[in-house]
This record gives sequence, structure tokens and C-alpha cells, in this order.
Amino acid sequence: MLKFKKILIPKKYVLTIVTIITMVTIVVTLPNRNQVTMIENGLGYVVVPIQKILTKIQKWSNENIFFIFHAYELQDKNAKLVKELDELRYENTILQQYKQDNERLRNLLKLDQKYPEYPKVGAQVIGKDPGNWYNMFLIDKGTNHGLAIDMVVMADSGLVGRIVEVGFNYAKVLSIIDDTSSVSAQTLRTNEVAIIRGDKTLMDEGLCRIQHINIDAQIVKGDEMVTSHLGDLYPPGILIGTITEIKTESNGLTKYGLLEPAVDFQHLEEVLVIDKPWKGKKTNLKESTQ
Amino acid sequence: MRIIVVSGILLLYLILQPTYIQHIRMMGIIPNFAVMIIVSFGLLRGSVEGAIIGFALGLLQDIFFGRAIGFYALIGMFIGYVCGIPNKKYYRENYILPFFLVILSTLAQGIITYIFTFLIRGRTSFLFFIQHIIFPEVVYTAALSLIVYRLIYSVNERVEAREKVRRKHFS
Repeated sequence: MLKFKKILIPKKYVLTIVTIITMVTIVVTLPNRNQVTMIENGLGYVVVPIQKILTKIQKWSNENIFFIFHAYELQDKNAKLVKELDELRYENTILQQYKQDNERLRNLLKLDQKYPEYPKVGAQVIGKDPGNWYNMFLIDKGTNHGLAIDMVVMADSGLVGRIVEVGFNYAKVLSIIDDTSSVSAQTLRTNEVAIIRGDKTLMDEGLCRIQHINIDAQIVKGDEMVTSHLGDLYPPGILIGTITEIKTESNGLTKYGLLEPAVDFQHLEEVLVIDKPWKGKKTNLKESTQ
Repeated sequence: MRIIVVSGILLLYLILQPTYIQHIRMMGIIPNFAVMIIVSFGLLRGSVEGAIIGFALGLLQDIFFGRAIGFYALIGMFIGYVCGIPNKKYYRENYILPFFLVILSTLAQGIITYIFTFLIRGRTSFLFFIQHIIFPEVVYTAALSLIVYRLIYSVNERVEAREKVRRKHFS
């Protein structure tokens, strides 16, 4: 490092030159960074395994040491869960019957499966955004495991986000509560279409904003929203969250609302990746219809 | 020797900030250790090394969590460069200067990040961002800055003691 000092006569020129080069790279890489360079992949091979080990240690210590602090809650929780389990079991048997009915009727009508089972791959969250501005995180699988850009990430209960960048052994996930994310969604009950956007100003409460709801739309507080069939990126039918508030926009033409995501983004540890990019499928479909 | 120690610190930051340091979030705010490291090295080692370390650390941030390569690298480079200017003129045991430089740098980074990633997309509620992100981040970072400065100071002292033998060759 100090060797530079001897060559370095015009310090400020070097600074300006580096600034200009960096600005060019910013402009070049800003729109979309699909290609991950060798340098990034090399760094990934150094950092990701260590982070993986750290995550494992953390998980182990949480499970084996810190559970003591929550021990007093366990009994209450257990009773609650047992009750819930009973209810869900009952519900499930009914739903199974519905499902069979549904399948039989669909076969009769020769309809395709509406919400196909998506193939999924499990992955571990190994790092979260080091700053305060974004909601991105790293998972421990990459192209080596068959992941690619724009694949959809879910947690057990709902939509988490999508992959925006992928290296050999890691992938960067942009969550739906990030300020730059937007998802095309519809209500489960009435099929009203809207757009769900992350909003930094709502981040403290962990909510998202719902925009462009039709003024006549039959939407009430408590409705569940799923990804819609209109979206390019997200396959339809994935649960996003429940509506907590609906208001009319000041222009009186549309409504907007707030949505509580089904996923707990604060304590995200394991995610599922649908390892088939939906985008490709959709364009194929368009081509075939044209 | 120095290169190994510095890259060790940078790697440590890169590994710990997304994992363990996430647990000390207060009200959703995480302290900005990158700025603390850059300011400390800038003050202790001068503009050139400050700028190089700032650039490297920013670049690592960009690679793993950034949108565009070079954004944090550029900010980090300038923070390191500016904080290196008083290097020759102050006593290293003086803790007031690093404290205030950390405050100013965090503030500057926060405002620049707001302007170029939020204001540009039409998020005009500047007051909200000041209140809920930038100001808490500055306070939290400043509170921890002296600890980090002190740590890097003693690490630097040790490295310099080792280099003392060879110092006459390149200063």
C-alpha cells in the first residue's frame, strides 16, 4: 500500500479518476446486475461458508441455550397450539373432501390445475442487509443448486420476495417489503386486483401499501391477498398477507390500503425457492397464444 | 503484514455485520460499523490509506448487498479521504475528533443514500427518513464509535510497532 506513495504525485488526480471510473460502473451496473463477476463469486466462496457456520452456531445457541428465557411461555403456547391443531385437523378433513370433489369436477370439465404445485428448494438465510435502507438478504444456495434470477422465494406461510442476483453459492433476495418492490395481487375472496408495494415509511410497523384498488372493489379489512394471475414475475395463488386498513384516495378515483405480510420478516431463517422461473413460462404462454 | 491485518478486519466486518450484529438492532436500526472503521483508519493512517480502505469496504458492501457497484465505494472513499486530512495535525489519543467525524460521516452517508436511492424515486418525506433512519443511526453509531476507534487504535499501534524496524525505508 505504501509503495503507491512514491508514484503518487498528484493525489487529487487519482481521486478524480477513480471517482469517474466508479460513477461509470454505477451507471453501467444500476439497471440490472444479471451477470455476477468472477471476483464476486470468489468472494462468495470465502465469505458464504463462514457465514453458514456462524448461522449454524447461532441457531444452535438459540435452540440449546437461549430457549431457557422462553421456557415460561412454552406451556401456554403448547396448550394453544394443541387446541389449534385440533381445529385445523377438523378443517383439514373437510378441505380434503373439498379437494377430492374439486379434482373430480375438474376432471369432468377437463380443466387444468388452477394452482399447480410448484417445485421448491429449501435454503437457509445466512445474512441480512448491513444497512438500514433496504430489505435484502442472502441465502446459501446459488447457481450450483439450480437457482437463477427472478425465481420466487417463499417462507412456509407466504411470499417473501424474489432473487435479484445469484452467484455460484449464494443468492440475493429482495423481499416484498423493500421500498423498490411491487407485486401484482388479488384478493382471495373477491378476485379484486391491486398492486402491493413495499414502503419504507411503513417499515416500523412491518406493513406494505396496497395501491390502485378500484373504487367499486369489494374489499374489506381482513381480506387475504394472493399473487395475481396478471403478474409477470410471481406465479398466481401465493399468499401475501391480510389487509389491515382500506381508505379512499383523496382524488376519489381509487382506494388504497395497508397489508400485513403473512411472513415474519424479522425472524426469517429458512426459505423455500420455487426453482422454476415463472417469467419464462409466462412469455412462452404469450407466444403460444399469439 | 498491514495488508493482512486490514483485510482481516474488512472480512470480519463483512462476516459479522449481516449475521451477529443484526441482533443488536434497536427500533430496527443497526449501527454503521463501516463508517466507524473507515473514519478510524483515515484518522490514524492518513488520506491515502483512508481512501483505499473506504473504497475497499464500500466495494464489499456493494458486492454483497448493494444495487449498483460503486455507490458505497465512492462514498467510503471520500469519507476516508476527508477524515485522513487532519491525520498529521491531531493527537491520536484525542477522542473528540473521531467522535465528531463519525457523526458527520454517518450523517453525510445517510443523506446521500436518501437522495440517490429514495428521493430520486419520488419518496419526498425527507423528515420521516431523518427522524426514523438517519438520526437514530447517527446516534447509535456515535455511541459505539469510540469503542471501535479504540480497538482499531490498539491494533494499528501493534502493527506500527512491528513495522518500526522497516519504517525508515518508506517514510
